[in-house]
Amino acid sequence: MALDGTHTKSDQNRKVEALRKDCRYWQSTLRFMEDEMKFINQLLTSYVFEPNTPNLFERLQDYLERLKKAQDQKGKVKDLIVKYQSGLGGMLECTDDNCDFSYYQKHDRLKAEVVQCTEDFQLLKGEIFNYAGGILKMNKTASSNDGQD
Amino acid sequence: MNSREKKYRYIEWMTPEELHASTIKWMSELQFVRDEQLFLNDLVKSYTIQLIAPDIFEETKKVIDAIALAEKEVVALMKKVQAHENLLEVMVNDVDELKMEKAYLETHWELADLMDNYMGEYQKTKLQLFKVASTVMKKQKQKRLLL
Repeated sequence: MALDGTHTKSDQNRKVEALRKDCRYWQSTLRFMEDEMKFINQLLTSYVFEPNTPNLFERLQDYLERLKKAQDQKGKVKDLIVKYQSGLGGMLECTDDNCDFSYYQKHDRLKAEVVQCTEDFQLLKGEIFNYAGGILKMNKTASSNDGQD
Repeated sequence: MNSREKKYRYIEWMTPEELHASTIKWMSELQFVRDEQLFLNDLVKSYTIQLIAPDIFEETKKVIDAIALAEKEVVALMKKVQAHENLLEVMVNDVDELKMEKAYLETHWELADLMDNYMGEYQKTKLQLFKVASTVMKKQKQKRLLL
């Protein structure tokens, strides 16, 4: 135990618990993202989005590819969190600030990965919703015009 | 002694830059939610007939009511966040206004709670809608394959 009393067992427990809490929050964010990804995939592969122009086909393919990349990226980050969590117990043994610092650095690096992953997906989602919303509207207009004919 | 017991609460201090950054982040998140809600509305509109089928009508109604509420709430929340951002001057001017600065920080943490609650509820609602819409899409796909 350090003389300044900031590395007692209970202090270390408290610090580790705070880091674990962040991990749980990230995991919940990624789980939610997973559900959204599944839905978006289903939406893009539903017949509503069956392309009737080559341009549309390319765009749809591009979105599906980017979605797949985002899914892979999310999978990697998820694994990183699990790996990081399993090593967190080591912080309980820290008796000085340098040792704590190395864990905080790892934590910050992981946080940056999570943020990057969620932000990338947010951008992609925005683009897809914008595109999908347009198609849904177009289909709706077409079907109401058909109804009038 | 009849003196009132004072309640002390720990409030984390933040720099004006940090306060500004988190307020801007909230605004951007809420703006994104609003845009997303436009899509959710388009989705509901395009599947209206399927969504009001008797077997899922009750569920649909619950989800749509929850989305309508979320749409109202997001506007109110955006106004609160904007008003809070406009008052940031309290924290950056040269006048030492400890009471006001403390009140500003308290409001900031209250808003942080409101944001957390709103985003949590909204995410649940969105997933419910996705679930109902997925059911409808699957049914449509099956019907189409049978034709």
